[in-house]
Amino acid sequence: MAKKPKTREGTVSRRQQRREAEQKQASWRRQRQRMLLGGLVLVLVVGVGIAVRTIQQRNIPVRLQGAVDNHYTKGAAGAAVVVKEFSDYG
Amino acid sequence: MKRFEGDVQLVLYPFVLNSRSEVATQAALCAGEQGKFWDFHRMLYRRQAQWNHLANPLDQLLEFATGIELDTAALKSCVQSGRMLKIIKADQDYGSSLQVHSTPTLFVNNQRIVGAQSEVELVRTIRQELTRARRTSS
Repeated sequence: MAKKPKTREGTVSRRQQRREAEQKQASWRRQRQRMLLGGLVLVLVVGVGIAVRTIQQRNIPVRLQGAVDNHYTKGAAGAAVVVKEFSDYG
Repeated sequence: MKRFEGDVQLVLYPFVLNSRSEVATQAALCAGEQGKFWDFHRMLYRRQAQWNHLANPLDQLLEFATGIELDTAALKSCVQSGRMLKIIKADQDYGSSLQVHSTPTLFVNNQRIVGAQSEVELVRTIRQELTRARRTSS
């Protein structure tokens, strides 16, 4: 009667366990890389958004400010603050 | 505006983005000839949903105009003459020179604000500008 290869089975099992652990580690590493990449993309998108907003909101040179002739106004003429509103009815 | 009376002036530049708003803007400017620009302006926003989907909203706008006691025949003739288009074009050119590409765009003195803002934000910007202006003048 043949002997059962107990030791071998034990070795294979340990190998399997090691392989599984390595696979788990590799999977975790991949996940971490993906999260890092996602984070970087998010930071980039937010950064671009802020940059665009800043460019849009930047101050414009005074020389481009026109006269108020032929336009409907509200409030005091010659006021310290002039609000020019460009709006569309449609 | 009321809370800044005497300190702030609002100047309106109707900025046309499509053919419907071109008709509406012409009508508003024509209403101005009858001394009812602001009434018509308010009405355009209040009833926006009723006219801004129409291919040619003039008839609908003329109907609204009766509600604010405008001479609709004169209004129609003014719009159809196209004499307000020159003003509209000038405003568009002026807006383009200020790099206005979308509405609403506001300039609080030289500070550009793109897109709809909350009242709180707008009041804060006006206050900042007022403080700056007062500091400069003193």
